[in-house]
Amino acid sequence: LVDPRRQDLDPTFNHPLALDSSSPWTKFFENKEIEQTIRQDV
Amino acid sequence: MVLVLLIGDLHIPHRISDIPPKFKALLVPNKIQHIISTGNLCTKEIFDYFKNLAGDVHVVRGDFDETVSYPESKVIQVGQFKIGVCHGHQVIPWGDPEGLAQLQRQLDVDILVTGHTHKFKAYEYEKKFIINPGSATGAYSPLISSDPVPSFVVMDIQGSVAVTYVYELHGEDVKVEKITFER
Repeated sequence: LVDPRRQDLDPTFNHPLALDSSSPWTKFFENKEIEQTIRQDV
Repeated sequence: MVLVLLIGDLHIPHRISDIPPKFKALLVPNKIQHIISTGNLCTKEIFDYFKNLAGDVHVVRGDFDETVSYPESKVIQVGQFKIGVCHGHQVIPWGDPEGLAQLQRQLDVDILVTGHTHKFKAYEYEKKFIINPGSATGAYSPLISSDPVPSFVVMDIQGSVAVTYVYELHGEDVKVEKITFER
């Protein structure tokens, strides 16, 4: 999983509720969802 | 990783009709784990809205909340942090750092969350973190001469670090600021 906290970006773009698909936080939540699905399937 | 939403002083429907749409767009389910509210929701619909966003919702009673089911103050443990919450109209003078520090010691918490002033504020005081998420609707307050800036706070808690994201609505733009607090 990418750690969105480690990225030193402008918080206006890189924040936990970000909707922009290129934001590390958005990626983080997307990955988490995939991970949960995988765990369910395995 | 735990996300905690700090939000309060909405005053719906007495002073304003709803949460700004720009904020509502950001607040979506399945991201936030805990909601800690400083009160003055004024309507049950907002409580239901919070419940929809996160499973764990804590609300204290503001001076305009009619329901008696909310307590005066509350202490919530999130990871390594003890978070205390109180609306803040009980602390006189309102928003006074000494008074808030006294309340922080009384509740024996690492982070004290209060509202009432409708003004975002966050600072460290004797190694404790004192935070006021302001009013999420920017509802009128007799304490501020101009219109309050709508604001709320999201805390990202991991280990002994709490990263605070402050969301403020300036005109049509949501501005986000980041403050780090270490225990």
